Amino acid sequence: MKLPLLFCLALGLTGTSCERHADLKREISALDATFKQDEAATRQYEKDIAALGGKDAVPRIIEQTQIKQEQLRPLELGNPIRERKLTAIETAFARLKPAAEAFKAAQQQK
Amino acid sequence: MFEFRFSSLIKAVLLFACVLGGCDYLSELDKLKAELAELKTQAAETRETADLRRQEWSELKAAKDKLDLQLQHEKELIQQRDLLDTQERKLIGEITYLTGSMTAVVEKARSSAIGTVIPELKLPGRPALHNAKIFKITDDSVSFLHEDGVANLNVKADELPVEIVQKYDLGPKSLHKGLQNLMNQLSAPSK
Repeated sequence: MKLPLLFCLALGLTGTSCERHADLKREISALDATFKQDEAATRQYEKDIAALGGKDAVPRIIEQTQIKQEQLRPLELGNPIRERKLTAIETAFARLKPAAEAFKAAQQQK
Repeated sequence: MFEFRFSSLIKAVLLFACVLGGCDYLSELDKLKAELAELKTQAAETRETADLRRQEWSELKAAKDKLDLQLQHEKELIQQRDLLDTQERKLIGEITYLTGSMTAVVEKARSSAIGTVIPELKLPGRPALHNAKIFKITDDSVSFLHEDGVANLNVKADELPVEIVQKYDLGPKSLHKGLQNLMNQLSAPSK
């Protein structure tokens, strides 16, 4: 009677241990996948950072942006003013031109 | 005296196998746990590194995007300035030509008018001049010699008839003055 009982006990223990084993392996493989994903992401980020000029490029780029901003300010301010001025002159000229042409034509006929 | 029993042997072998299996299982379990712990540490480090790199990349990308935006903006502004330059050159050309030709025509009209006698010059709000001979024309006035003397009639004071004002392009509404004014506006710096 004791032998089958022992056998059953051994079998039960083996089953439980196998399950625990499988759980751990699953956890390891999931963690491994995340680890590899993160590693790949890190490699990709490093590649992208290198392509953008390296992580030390940030202050240089910010400085360049500021310099560019300063350089563009006169154009940003000047273009609309010039545009308004030229539009006003163009409008006035469009008004004067036919009258002037008519005056010239009238004088040349004399 | 020792009595050999087959069942005892099986029990012993089973027990031994169980102990051996248990030991193996525990050892394997320990190995897996160690592996898991190490992997957890490595994964945490890798995650930290990935987060750091992502942050660095984000900063770099944001800075680069801002610079690219500035460069794009510069391109647009330069394009706009070039268009304005073209528009300005075209206007300068057209206005210069028309001002030049208009001034010449006006000067010719005024100079050829000197000596012209108008039998009766009707004036707004005052008696007409008889046999009025033009002897001087400026931008704002015309001087006449007439039967009763000399008259210097000013456009600003509305002393001249509209026909004379238009004929010799006189006064503040003068076309050639208006064109010259546009030329001055073009050459003046933008405010």
